Amino acid sequence: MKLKTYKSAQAAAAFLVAMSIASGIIVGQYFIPAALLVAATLILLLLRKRVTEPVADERDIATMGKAAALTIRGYSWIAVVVMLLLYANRAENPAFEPVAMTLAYSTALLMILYSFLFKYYNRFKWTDHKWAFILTTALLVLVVLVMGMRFLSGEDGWICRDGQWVAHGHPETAKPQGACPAGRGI
Amino acid sequence: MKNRIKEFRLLRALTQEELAKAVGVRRETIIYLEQGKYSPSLELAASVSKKLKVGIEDLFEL
Repeated sequence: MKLKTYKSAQAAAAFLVAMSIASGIIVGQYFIPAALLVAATLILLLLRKRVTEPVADERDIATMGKAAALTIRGYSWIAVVVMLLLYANRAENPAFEPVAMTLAYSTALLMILYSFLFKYYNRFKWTDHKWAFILTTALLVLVVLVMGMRFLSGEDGWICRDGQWVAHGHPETAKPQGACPAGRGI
Repeated sequence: MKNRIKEFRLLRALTQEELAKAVGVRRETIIYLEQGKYSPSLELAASVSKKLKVGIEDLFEL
């Protein structure tokens, strides 16, 4: 198979998966997009093996490495700043907290995964790459701090019970004014 | 890094595509190599010099 044909198949698969995800969200059906995503990935992996030309050579891999490192650094900085802003202002809107937590955990996971994969492929000694070590340690500390804030706070908030807002622990925010649907909590 | 890849490639009557295929890279990489915009790995440099039947020290210079 020619590289051009493979690239066309890749573009077609991306288009189909994107369309199925979009329509899945609209109609509330998520199984088909998930199945299609897995199928497309497997088909592309099989097709890639049939490509006779190099799909990516050493220059591409070097470029990808630089781009990936910059992307991870950029995303991490933005995510951490946004996470701190959202977490600091969680009293204004309770929806800020889960978004901040998602950003924190996704960033931590991304950086830890990157660091460990870097270590695996590079097979280096920790002492020879002190910045990777410092970064990993700092991120692990961040995870511990965030988790600590979450758990030591006692998960204080307002819980909806029998149509009434009931204080759970010592909430920092005032009792919500609106009616509470069953099973909802802040 | 300066090199004489283009000179030796033309001497061997090879196209960029043929050289790329022979050493297992994309044609763009050969273009960047010839322009001196990409420093190859030792493995690629050795493959190119072998294909062009010229010593690696004659092909590349700092």
